[in-house]
Amino acid sequence: MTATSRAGSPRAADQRDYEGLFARWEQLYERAHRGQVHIRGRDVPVVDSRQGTSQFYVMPQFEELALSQWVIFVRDHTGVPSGRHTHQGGIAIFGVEGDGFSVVNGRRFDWSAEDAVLLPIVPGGLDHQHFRARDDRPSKFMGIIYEPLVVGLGAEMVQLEPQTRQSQWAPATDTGAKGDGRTVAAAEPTLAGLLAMRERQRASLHPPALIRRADLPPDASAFGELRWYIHPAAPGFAGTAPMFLFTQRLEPGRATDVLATPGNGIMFVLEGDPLVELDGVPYQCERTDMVLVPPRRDGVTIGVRAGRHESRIVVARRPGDGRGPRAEAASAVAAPLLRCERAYRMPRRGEGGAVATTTPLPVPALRSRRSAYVAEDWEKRIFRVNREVFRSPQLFARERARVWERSWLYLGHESEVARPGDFKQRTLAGRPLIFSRDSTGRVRAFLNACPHRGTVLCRETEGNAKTFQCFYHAWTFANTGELVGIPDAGAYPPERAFAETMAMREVPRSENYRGFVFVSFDPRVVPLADHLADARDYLDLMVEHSPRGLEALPGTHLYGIRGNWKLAVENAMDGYHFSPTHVTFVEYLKNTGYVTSDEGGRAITLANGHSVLVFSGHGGRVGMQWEPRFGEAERLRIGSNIEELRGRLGAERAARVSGTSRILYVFPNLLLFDIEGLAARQLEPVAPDYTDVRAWELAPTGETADSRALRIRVLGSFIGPGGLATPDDVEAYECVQRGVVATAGDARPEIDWSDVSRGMERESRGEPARNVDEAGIRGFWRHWDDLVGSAPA
Amino acid sequence: MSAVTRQQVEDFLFHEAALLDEWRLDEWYGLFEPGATYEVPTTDRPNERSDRAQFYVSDDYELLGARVKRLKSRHAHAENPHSRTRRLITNVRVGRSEGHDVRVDAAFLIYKIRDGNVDSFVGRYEHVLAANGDGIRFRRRRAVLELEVLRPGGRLSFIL
Repeated sequence: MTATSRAGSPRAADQRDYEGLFARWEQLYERAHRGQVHIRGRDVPVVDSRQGTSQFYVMPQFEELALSQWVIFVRDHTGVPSGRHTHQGGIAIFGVEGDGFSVVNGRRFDWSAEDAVLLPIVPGGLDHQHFRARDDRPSKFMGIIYEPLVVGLGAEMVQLEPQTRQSQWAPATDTGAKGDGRTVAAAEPTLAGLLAMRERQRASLHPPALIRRADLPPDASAFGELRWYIHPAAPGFAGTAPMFLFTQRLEPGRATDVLATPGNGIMFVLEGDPLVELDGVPYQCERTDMVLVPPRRDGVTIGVRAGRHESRIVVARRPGDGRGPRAEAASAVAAPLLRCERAYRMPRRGEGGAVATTTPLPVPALRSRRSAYVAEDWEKRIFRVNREVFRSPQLFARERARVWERSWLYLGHESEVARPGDFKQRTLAGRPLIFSRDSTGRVRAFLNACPHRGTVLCRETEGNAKTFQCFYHAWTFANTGELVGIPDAGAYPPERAFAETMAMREVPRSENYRGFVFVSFDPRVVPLADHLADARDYLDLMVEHSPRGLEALPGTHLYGIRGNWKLAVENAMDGYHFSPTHVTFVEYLKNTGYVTSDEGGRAITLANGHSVLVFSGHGGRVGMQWEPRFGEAERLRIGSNIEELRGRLGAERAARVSGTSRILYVFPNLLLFDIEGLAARQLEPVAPDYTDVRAWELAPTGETADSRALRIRVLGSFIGPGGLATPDDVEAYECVQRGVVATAGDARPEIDWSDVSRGMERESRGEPARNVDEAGIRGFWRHWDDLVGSAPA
Repeated sequence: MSAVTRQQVEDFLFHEAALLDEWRLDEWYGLFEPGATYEVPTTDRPNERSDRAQFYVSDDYELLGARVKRLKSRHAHAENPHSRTRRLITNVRVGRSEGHDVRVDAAFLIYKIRDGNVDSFVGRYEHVLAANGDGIRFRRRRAVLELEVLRPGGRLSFIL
């Protein structure tokens, strides 16, 4: 089987000799090289089949595809439920969305997204049926079948029962199901007894198995963070589906090494917008897209780069030896267990033969830009910001119009107005507002101006009231906004209709995300969830501290800083300054017996201008990460908190909540600190060189008095105008504000730019950004530039 | 009958003010009983307790020691160079005593001058002093701001 033997004259695949066989293989080879590789989920028709509503991505009879030996479908049973049926195993069921359960040989397996149910190869096949967890909730799974094996084992399929819905299912009383080994009679010293015993042993070796994502340890590899569902080194592999099955997670912007593999498998995008590069050809994917990895003659190279979002992909692939469809086809049935090839780093195609240490993908995110205010140059790895952005009254006015009047703005936490009638004054984007909860319990945001003549309506900074009365002409409004009293109302005919036009003016849009209340002055703003996008996951990590959510403590830090609001954003997204600026705080921690480190920290740029710094060894956190200064009692409480988290969220999520610290910036006016304790900081620009700050401490609702007291003391030691660290941050941005005047109007205009290039060199090599780099700051400036700096006047 | 006279309390407070204005922080820390506290509640919750509410400052004796140590470092950037401060302390009232402890209230006006700005911080002290045979010390030192917001200068990097 040399290369030259392929390049002969055209041959017909129906010839009844070797030539015909080679011709057929040649056709498969052609498909693998020239067939369709990228299948967009939205282009795959949704059809009702005998087993339920399905999208068939890959079938052996789909001649246009590069992959020829697989059956891959996504099923959700929205129209037609599944029937009970039997066929041989060697198949994987992978949860894609929502929750469901599968009943296999009478045993029920409840699964969620990214769990897998393995249907093993057992004598007689498996009797099974799939259900949505609830008929009104999504429940999608992917069926992954390697056809040659199923055919080789006898691909008979028998429909045992018609389709039923979850609500109609009851555990079967008839346990005469086939092939689970339990119905086989006890062994007797006969040939039949021997066979029976063997079958029982087989069945007990390979029962159907549920593999939960939460139980799988992440494998930090050159190919991203992997979780192995089916792996040759795992016990029971021989009897399960004869394939690798794993998921891959990549942080936004991060790329894998390019790997050479024998191919023959699929990649399905569960989340994100990754770019998948197959043999040097990029395929921009979105959620539910599939990339086929065909078994090409010399194998294929694969690399993945996450886009602006975290990428999660599930990969199913045949073990193979990299010699293409012939070897694969020849070995498929006879030896379902082929050796696991060694993944190795190699240059991308067209880059010559030398083996590079890392070979990043082309980087679509690394686009250069040059506007009046932001210069990003990936050739020189330089990112600069024109200092005019901190000084200019014109830009300040433009920001008001394009950011603060259009974006979602953080207003406050719902617990600040916990009881009906509670209200607080709060100014956002220069507009005085009333943040309140009306008597029906609904959280409200009103403009604090009487509809009559514009007088400030509510003059108490906070309180509890059923009504608001304007002192000027004594118009009275219910706390729902309704105008309920006008002195001498008869002067306004018709009285009722007039009053209806004069209700308190609400802020056009208001939405609540898990207790965090946001408003927008733009009625056409996108839904809050779309604005928050990936930031939601990091907000969730904070809310998940406690089974009862968070509450804002009494006592608000209210202070002004003599600096532009964007300096406060830069400072918070800047891990670089921590060591030099906060050396006295680091000293203090060291004296209490705790040493901080920057190891393993990340800066992650999220969509819509948000970004997050992740710290692993930054410092302890009350309730989550112990430090000696917290004392022994807190060490025990942390132990039981983590236990509770594991039970509620699973080991992996619990580790994320408890094990890492974070600073999250939600564009444009909210900073959330999950370091030391939990805090929210709101930025309110007042002038180009002046910003008001409001900061709240958040805490798990209903925590013990001891924890609460410790939390307050620990957070207070670091954060806020009286802490041991924040004053030095304030000094930093006030000093920048005073310093950037020096270069204004200089004869050398190039020196009037600030540099935030740190980490670009690493980023251009495809390495993840560290929190001590300036990547988070760059993400902010790009978004700001899109909205303000480079937008047409 | 108080254990101390107003004259003695005023002398103590004026001496303390001089130590702070002259940045003699070690001597100032020596005015605290072991176990004493230093508190500054937020402007919107001047009457809260520091184990239930967020404060600007709620130092126990050890954290206060760390604060002093930090402020003496040239790496305490917010106060390097030091602010100039001048404290005017008046309206001193000596309240009830319990054993050796005496409640003392006073008004303060502190000017903080740095970087071309003159910021004033006005408020009241709600101290508890321990008056033993060997002199007066702080049991609780509490500074309550009358400001609505920490403006124009938003930092309490100095001692209030």
